[in-house]
Amino acid sequence: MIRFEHVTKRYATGQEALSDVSFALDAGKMTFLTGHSGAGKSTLLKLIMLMERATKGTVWIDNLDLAKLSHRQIPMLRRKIGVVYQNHQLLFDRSVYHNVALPLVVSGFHPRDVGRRVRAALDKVGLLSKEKQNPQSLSGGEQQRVGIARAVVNKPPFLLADEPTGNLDPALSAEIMELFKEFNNVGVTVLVATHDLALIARMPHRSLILRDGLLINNTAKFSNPAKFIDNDQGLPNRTEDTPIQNPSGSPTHSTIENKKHSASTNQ
Amino acid sequence: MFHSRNKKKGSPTLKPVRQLGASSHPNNFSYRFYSWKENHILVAKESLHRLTTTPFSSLVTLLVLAIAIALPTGFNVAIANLERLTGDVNDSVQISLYLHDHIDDAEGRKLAAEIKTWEGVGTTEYISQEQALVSFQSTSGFGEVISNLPKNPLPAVVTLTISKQSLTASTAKEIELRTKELNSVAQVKFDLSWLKKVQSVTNFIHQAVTGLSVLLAIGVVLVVGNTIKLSIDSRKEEIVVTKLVGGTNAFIRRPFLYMGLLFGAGSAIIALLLLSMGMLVLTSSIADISGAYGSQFKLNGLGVINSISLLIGCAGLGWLGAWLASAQHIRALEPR
Ligand SMILES: Nc1ncnc2c1ncn2[C@@H]1O[C@H](COP(=O)(O)OP(=O)(O)O)[C@@H](O)[C@H]1O
Ligand SMILES: [Mg+2]
Repeated sequence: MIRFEHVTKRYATGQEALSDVSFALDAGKMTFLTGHSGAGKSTLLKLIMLMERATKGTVWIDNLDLAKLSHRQIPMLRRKIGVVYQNHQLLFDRSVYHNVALPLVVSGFHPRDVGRRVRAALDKVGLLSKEKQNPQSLSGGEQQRVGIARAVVNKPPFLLADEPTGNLDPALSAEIMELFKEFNNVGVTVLVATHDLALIARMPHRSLILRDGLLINNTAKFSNPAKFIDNDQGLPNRTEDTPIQNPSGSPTHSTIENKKHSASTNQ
Repeated sequence: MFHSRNKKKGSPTLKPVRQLGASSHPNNFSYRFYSWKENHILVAKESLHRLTTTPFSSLVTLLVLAIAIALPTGFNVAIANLERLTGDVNDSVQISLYLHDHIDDAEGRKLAAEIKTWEGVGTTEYISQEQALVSFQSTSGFGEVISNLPKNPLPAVVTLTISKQSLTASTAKEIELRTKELNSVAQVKFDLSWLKKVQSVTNFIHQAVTGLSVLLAIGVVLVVGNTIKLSIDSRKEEIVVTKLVGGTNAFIRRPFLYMGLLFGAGSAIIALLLLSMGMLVLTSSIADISGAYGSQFKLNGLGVINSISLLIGCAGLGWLGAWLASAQHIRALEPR
């Protein structure tokens, strides 16, 4: 489970990338995170990875308050979260195999198990035959699949993706999304940040919509995020926005409040 | 050792990542130990590989380090040999006690035996008036003159040498003062200032070489540190990606520490080779000089124990340099 409670992120520059964001993602669910460029999608993912820390509010991963994790506990957190990036972050000084093996090697897996798991992950993304190649020699879609194999190779309970289809054509994008769905089907909690609304529209998953750092939609079954993003005229400005993103009596909000309450009584 | 500070309050389920980490899956100890060992072997190979990917700059670094190590080591070897040489001279440092005329042979011998028991005294010898005369006649050109004198003008002498282990200016002074208090001694002859000079010169050389050794050891740490820093800079991308997938600082630091270790040990080996080459050249010329002076003096090398200590010490210095560089620069590299 991933839960944000009134999370604000202000960068050192003074830029407020997220403003009082609250939501909860249940374990085993797949969710999209969308919004215009600069809306705060990457910032939100970075808070989950502890690449950045929240200025205000609390981020929970399962029952962990990320603010309480020390610097040396961060690697342990990251081993529970697979991440896929738009620019895939592959290393071109080594083979596909060794790229995918990295999360296992840093976790101290036995070389024998490393081989077995790397091949299983590569098989899952359909690249078993390319394990010896340098990722540089692969196409964009294949590189992204190597990135996905690396993200899931140590079977993390969470999978995050930041614009994973940003550089791909629609057919390849659909393939990648299909892969995420497959991982979600076996129980992985998936959060995909994307501005590819056509792609989202075809999939029956929940969407979180950010606009200028505000979460403007937080319902479980929102069918048409395009309405909020495509047409700037139709969008209310920020002050008018406030009642929408902060509905005092909204069910989602009270759910969070309840959970917060039960969490504090547990302590 | 990198994780001695343990977790603080809070954080219910996450433990700090250990050296090897892997909490969720590889849990049992022998598995962990095995993969830890495998990882270290892999990392050592990887470090060696990193050195050989930039053979020229690695070689230059190794040579710079080797010279920095060979210099003070060579000086130390030279001093040790010089001390052996002056030690031979010091062995012959004697104090001569000229006895009063009225002391007879028996008393003289008794005195010699007594002084021999003093602390710091090596050997003593009693030379009677007659022996002194015979030796004087045979060594000097004045034999005729002396034998024409009505009375033997030479006094009886007790000579004493100071044992080698207590041969310092201060103990020599003490012994000298003690002999002056003896009633039967008329005069004490001993040039202490000469010993003092020799000792102050060797002390000075000792201090200079120690200072030089410390400076060059710091130099080794800095050179290795800088080399490791450059290596870290050229691997920024890899370090950031490793952090993203949950690599600990200790894991990332490990190959760099091995690199430092290899630099230190490798340059020590080259330094030892340089030294033994220098020894080889010097040995033959010293044999010529020794031969000419009828001396038994032979040049001593560093020896096995000292060579091994040097190797371990330099490996340690390299490791320290790498540790300092990586502690500083790896921590600063965070994924953005
Ligand atoms: N490291 C940073 N320092 C300062 N401002 C930043 C930083 N990263 C992002 N921002 C700003 O925060 C806002 C949100 O950025 P980001 O989370 O990257 O949005 P998105 O991923 O939705 O495009 C933008 O205005 C961006 O300029
Ligand atoms: Mg972004």
